[in-house]
Amino acid sequence: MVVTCADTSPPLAECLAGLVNQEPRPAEVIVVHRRGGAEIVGLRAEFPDVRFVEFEGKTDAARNAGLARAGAEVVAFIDSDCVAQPGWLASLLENYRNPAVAAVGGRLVEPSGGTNTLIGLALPNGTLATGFDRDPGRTIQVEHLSPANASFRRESLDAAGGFGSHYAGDGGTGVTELCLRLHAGGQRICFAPGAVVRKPAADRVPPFWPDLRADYRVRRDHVLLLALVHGTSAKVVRNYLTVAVREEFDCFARMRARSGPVMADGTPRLLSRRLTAPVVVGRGLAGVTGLVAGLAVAVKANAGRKRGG
Amino acid sequence: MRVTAYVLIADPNFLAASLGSYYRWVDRIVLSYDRTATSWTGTPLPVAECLDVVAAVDTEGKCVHAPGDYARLDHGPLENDTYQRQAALLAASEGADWVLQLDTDEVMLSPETFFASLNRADEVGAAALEYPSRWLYARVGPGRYLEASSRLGGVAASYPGPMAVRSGTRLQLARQAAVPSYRVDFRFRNTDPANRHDAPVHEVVAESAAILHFSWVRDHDTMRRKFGWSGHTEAYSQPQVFRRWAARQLHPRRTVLTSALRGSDWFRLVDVPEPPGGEP
Repeated sequence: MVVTCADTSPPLAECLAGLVNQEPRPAEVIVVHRRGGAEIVGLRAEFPDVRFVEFEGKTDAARNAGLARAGAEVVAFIDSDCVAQPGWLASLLENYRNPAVAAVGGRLVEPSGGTNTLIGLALPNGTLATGFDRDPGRTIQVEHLSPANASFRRESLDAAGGFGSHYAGDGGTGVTELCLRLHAGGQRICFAPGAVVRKPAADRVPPFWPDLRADYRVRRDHVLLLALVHGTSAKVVRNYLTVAVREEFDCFARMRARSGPVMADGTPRLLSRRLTAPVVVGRGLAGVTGLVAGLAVAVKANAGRKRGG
Repeated sequence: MRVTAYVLIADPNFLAASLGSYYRWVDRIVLSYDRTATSWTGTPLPVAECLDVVAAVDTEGKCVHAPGDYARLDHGPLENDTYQRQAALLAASEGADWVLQLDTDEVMLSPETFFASLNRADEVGAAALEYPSRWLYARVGPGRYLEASSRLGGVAASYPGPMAVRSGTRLQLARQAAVPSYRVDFRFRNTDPANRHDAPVHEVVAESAAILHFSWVRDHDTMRRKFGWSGHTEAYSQPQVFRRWAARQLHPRRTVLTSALRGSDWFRLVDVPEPPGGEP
C-alpha cells in the first residue's frame, strides 16, 4: 500500500488510521512524503509499522518511488487527503481472484455531479468520463481509475514500467496512462463500488484571474497522454485535437459575451469587467499552446521509445 | 447475459423484418396489444393481421402474448404509450438482464454490432443502450429513400429512446428513461440534431450497422391511419403534415436541394438495399 502526500498535515494521520484498521490488514503501508517535519516524528511514533520515505518530485514519480519499495503482489495507491472506509481493501482484493484483472479502483465520496454519467470510460473523442463518485451497484469494467483510489497487480505494474512521469501537472495522469495502456493491451480494469474512500471536496471558488498555467497543463498533459497510449497519429488524438481546438476557439465568443453591457441576469456589468474581458482569450491561447507542446513532447517520447526498441 | 424483448403490436408494416432481425438473439418476445384491437386514440388496429405475421416468424415459440387494456381514452396518447410500454417491459423483465424495446418498424441491420454494444454497455454498468437509428421519411423508388440528415446532408443519428434497457427500468415518457446510458453514434461527435452538440459518445459504429427506422415509409392510406393512432397524433393529424410528406415524396430532389434553407426537416437521398424495406 502506497500513500502519496504533498504535506504531512492532519489528514494524513486520519488516512493512516483508516488504512491500518482495514480488514484484512495491509501487508505494508509506505508513505511517500515530500517535506519532512516535526509532524513526521509524531506520525512515526503513532504508526510504528508504517514506512516513511522522503521524496522530492511530482506525484507520479512519488508513486514510482513507493512502488520500488513495495513487495506485495497487489499494490494500492491512495492520496493522503483521502480516508479509506471500512471494507475498502477487502473490496479491492476480492476482484483479484480473477487472474484476468490487472487493476481495481474504487469510489470517491466526493460530489462531482452528473449522476447519469458512466464511470471511468475513455470516449472516442479523446475525453475521459470520470463519475468516480457514482455507485453502479456492482463491480463493473472501466478503462481508467481515479488516481486517488487505485490498485494494481504488481506484475502488470512492472511489465508496464510503472507510472509515466512526462506530465507537467500533478494530478496523477501517470495512473490514467497506465490504466489506458493496460486496457489497450486487453487487460481487465475493474471499478469496485464497495471500495470507498472519503475525499474532501475541492475548493471550487473560481479565481478572479484565470490560471493560464493550469489551462496550458491540462491540454498539454491530455494530448500527451493520448499520444503516448495510442500513438501520435492515432484517430483518437486527431479527434481530441478537433474537439479541444474548437473549445478553445470558443474563447472569442466568451470574450464577446463578457464585454457586453448587461450580465445574464439583467444587471449592468461593471466597466472593469468589460475592459478585462479579453483576458479569456489568453485562456484559449494557453490551451492551444498546451496542445502544441503536448504533441511535441509526445513525438519526442515516442521516437525515443522506437529507438529504444 | 439474458436478453428479452417486447413489441407493441399495432402495425404489420415491416413487422416480420423487424422481429426477424433480432429473433435468434433473444430468449423471449412479449407481444403487447390491446385486447379490443383499439389504439390509444380509439381508432381500430389490425392486431389480428399482425399476430398472423408474428406466428409466421415465431418458429421457435419464443413469443408470449400479453393482451391488456390500453385504449384508455380518458388519457392522452403519449401517456397511454408509456403505460403500455411499462407494462410490457415489466412482463419482459422476468428472468432477463436486458430488454430490447424496438418498435415494429425498426430493423437491425447488424445484430452482431448491436449486441456487441449491448455487451459493452452491460460491462461498464450502463442501465440503457442508446443505439442510433436512421430515420427514413419516405420511399421514393426501389431501394431509394429520403432520410433525415444534418442540414448539409450528413448522416444524422436518431434516438427515439434507448433501444435496450436493464430489466425493471422505470420509463419516463414513451421509451425514454432517466438512467445512465451507453450512447453509440455514427461519429465521435454527436450527430443527432435534436441533442446537445456535446452529448457524450461512448462508441462509434458505421452507418451500415444502424437500426433502420421505416418511420414514415408507408402508403398513403396507412400513413393517414398511422397519424390517427400515433402517440404524436395531435401534431401529426394536422392536414399540412400529410400534404408536406406526400409532396416531398413526389419531389425528392427538390426536397434535398432546399433542405439547407429550412430551419429543420433536413433530408438526403440514400440507397438502402432491399430487403428490408421494399414497397410499403
